[in-house]
Amino acid sequence: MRVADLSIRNYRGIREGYLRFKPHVVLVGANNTGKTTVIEALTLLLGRDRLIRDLTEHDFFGSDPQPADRIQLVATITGFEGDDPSDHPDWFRDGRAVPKWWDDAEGAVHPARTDANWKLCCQIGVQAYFDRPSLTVEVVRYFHDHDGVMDPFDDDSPIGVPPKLVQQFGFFLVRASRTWDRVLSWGSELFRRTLQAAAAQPADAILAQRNQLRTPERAIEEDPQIAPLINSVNNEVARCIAVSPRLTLRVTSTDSRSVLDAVSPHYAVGDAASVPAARQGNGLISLQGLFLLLELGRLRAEAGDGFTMALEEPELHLPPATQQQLVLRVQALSSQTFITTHSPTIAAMADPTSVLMLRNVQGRLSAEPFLAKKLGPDAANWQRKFYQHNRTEVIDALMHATVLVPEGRSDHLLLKTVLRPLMLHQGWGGEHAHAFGLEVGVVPTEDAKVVETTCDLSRIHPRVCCLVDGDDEGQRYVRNLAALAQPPAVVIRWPNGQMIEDAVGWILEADVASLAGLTNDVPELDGADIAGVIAHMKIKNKKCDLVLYEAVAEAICESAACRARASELFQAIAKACAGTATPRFVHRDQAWVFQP
Amino acid sequence: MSVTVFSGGAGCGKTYQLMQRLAAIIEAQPPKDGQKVLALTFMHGARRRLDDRLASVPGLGGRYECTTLDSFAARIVRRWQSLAVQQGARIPQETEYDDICAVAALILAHPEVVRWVKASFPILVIDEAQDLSHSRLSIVQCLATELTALIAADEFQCLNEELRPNPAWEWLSAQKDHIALEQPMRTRVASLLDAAAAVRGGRAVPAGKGFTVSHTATAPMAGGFLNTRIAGLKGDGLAIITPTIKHFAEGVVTWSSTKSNSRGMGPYAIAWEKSETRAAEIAMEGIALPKEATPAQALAALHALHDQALVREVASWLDRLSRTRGPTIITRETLAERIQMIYANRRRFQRPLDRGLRAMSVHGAKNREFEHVVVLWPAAVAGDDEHKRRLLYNAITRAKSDCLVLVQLKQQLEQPPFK
Repeated sequence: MRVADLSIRNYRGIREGYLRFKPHVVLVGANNTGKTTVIEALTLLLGRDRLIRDLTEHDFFGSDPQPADRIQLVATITGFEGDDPSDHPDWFRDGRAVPKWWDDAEGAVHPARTDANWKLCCQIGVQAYFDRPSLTVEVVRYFHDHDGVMDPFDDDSPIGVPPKLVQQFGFFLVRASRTWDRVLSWGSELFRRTLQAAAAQPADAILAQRNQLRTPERAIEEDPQIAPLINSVNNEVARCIAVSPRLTLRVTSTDSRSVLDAVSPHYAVGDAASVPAARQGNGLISLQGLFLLLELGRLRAEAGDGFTMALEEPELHLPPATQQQLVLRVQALSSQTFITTHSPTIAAMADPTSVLMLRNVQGRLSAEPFLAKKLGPDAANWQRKFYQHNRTEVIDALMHATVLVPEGRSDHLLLKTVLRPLMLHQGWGGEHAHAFGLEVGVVPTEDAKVVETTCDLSRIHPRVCCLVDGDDEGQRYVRNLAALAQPPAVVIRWPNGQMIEDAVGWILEADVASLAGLTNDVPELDGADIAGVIAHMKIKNKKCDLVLYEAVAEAICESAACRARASELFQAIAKACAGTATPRFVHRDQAWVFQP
Repeated sequence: MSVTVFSGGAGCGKTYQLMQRLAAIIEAQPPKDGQKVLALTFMHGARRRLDDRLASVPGLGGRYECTTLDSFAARIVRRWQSLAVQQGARIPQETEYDDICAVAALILAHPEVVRWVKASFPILVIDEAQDLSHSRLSIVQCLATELTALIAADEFQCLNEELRPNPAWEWLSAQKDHIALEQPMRTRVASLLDAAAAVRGGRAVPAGKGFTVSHTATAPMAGGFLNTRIAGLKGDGLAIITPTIKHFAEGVVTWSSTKSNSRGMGPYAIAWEKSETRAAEIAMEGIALPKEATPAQALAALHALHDQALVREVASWLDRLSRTRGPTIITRETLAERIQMIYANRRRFQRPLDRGLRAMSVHGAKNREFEHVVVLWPAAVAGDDEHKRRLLYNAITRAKSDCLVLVQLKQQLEQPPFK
């Protein structure tokens, strides 16, 4: 079983939102777009009661709910084997869900099946209101029969979703704030459930431990240090009571329950004494915890039960080296996974059509797949490179508030190469380049497809800006971009006849001495002046020459004057992207033109 | 899927036979986990009685759901609303019972909906099936395509003139597994059995020990008779049954409740059994409410009725409204609707009393039994001769020990249903 779609109203930062899900979903978006809210909504709908946090006013959009303001969540569940409701009487019968039909092509739910491709589905709803007199939030989870007028808090109370079905669905959540060191003990529900599923309760060992604790080889009360004290107490008591019990001291209450409670995970390396898990680094513990969870998933899959995993920011739990393997294992074992992430590496592991880019514009959440449809054999070369090979970089750029589409790949590379050492050089005071790195993400545009790329990205990102050259072609791009149905927020252009290499020249001009280092590192530049460096960089086979770019970046960073100019340029680009004028960029003929 | 029909006159043991058959089916094929028997009736009072019968079926345990046909239909419409809308149906208000049943029939025409019901309710039990209107019959017919249906009916006890010829009966007669019961078991009093048979057969009604017909022209005269009859009771219950609750019947009951006859018998406290609609109307007449009231005003007005239980229930409803909806305005209509719903709920969960002194309509007496019955037959009884026979048959067959019929007009004794 899996969740096909989800609609959210009035929940936390989302006034209204709708998402469609593939089997293995990766949710990507800027901070505060609502990635966690989506996961929490799924938890309210499908999680066991223990997973559900108590709701408060802050869980309502706007934080001040009036009686009629309801949190309303509806999820469509599909993936019922055979797609015949009679085969699933636990789910579909009077007193349970009404069968409906899911059209995956259109993303629509129908009351009757008129197309063999439609899949059997049911809808589960959650509503909550803030009960002002008691200051608590009332929540109900029910089978959502129809979208017509219905108040689940009215007399005709709707049909609740029985815990048995919730358990059958098997929704498991690993929150970002998860602490792992208690996972491998009987205090953890996950641990107990895995033991139960595997029929692996180590009863004999526990009973043996219990018996040892009851009759220890060296009883504490018999220790020569304490024995006289205990004996005199025993003798005094014996004088008062005829058949008095003897005082003994035992570790734990010597029943199996307290033995279980006392178990705590340790790690042993070689012959050294075991060290308690709580004293271990986080990486190992979280790995073991996750593998325990996966083991539970494997057992559930074997038993034919559902296993759906929601994993918040796995990059927090997992060392980078294990991320890919673990995420793939999770996906292989689960009927469906939901992963939220801030890591482009993790987002890039998933199929690009499963990566959902979340946008939240004043509470209205939308989610578009990074790639709308799988690329067919006729897909253009630049699309393949952009969406497949370079998608880590593209997704990285998309995670910024503004995404900048430069004319070519060399602009992307040069900007990045210069920016990186610049940021390393910044003290607390220098915030210029910082703003660019935080707010603007640059994508690696392929084959100068600046118009096509802008067009594509406007679908998934709210603020797309472009950076084009000052030649004739660049000016043509400016006109074509302005003519788009959804034109970019801002177009930035280098001055007439110039391109990024000229801007780099302008930076170097601040301190001609900076050239010395550069000409030392790159033999071809021996004795060259700034014009020579610019000309060299513009040679076709020197474009995207990383060695050259790094040498340039180093030269810039070594001079305070160059650094200042570079920072000024980056900051000016960031401001231009935001639509703010600076002395360095003025708006002319539909574009912000650089003023060196 | 199969349909088994049990038919026969009042007291022939239709319901008994039906329960026997049900027990046999349950034994042969016990319901699976989560499955129950679905028992449908017409009125809440009947529901309660059928509920009692089902509770005593061996092997069934609590695995049955007894509900009225109308609330079952409302549930189907509520849950399958999107299918109904797709079929072009208008979704009726919950109080538009006939329309609700028609839409439910439309929905249940889809086999997957019937299978959905069957997954929970493999067996269907229906008593008094002669009262099924066209759309309600369609519901039952749709259900019977998949469910095992056990149905009891007596065409002659149908009191709805619009259902003549009786559509349910036509369908039920055509069923192969049809068990006609002829031996009345409800009483051993021969005169009661003879009188019932005569009314049913359209013959002159014979009087005898235990069954008397008397002419009482006025309410005081009839009241005097009634008080004598009540005085002779030895603590047993007595039901006063009338085809029309109007001047004559009301007059008689009021007289008996307030006056004593020439031999000093009476007055006796007799309670009218009212329909929840009528009860709600009467309650609303006693309330002074502004056109648009606040919840507090509505509640204050309600105190005039001196019904603390009602006040509590309305208060909890108003409380929920304001918690879940915010400030609310209460109109007379919404309050009346709510009071009617509360009365209906009371009836749903209360057992109608078959003891004490009670006055009721023939419809209200349906399917019930009383030791002693007094029938008040006013001058004006609506309907054709056939209908009057059915009314009288229904009234007198409620008696187990004896029955006294008080007729307002002398010439009525020479006319149907008495001749």
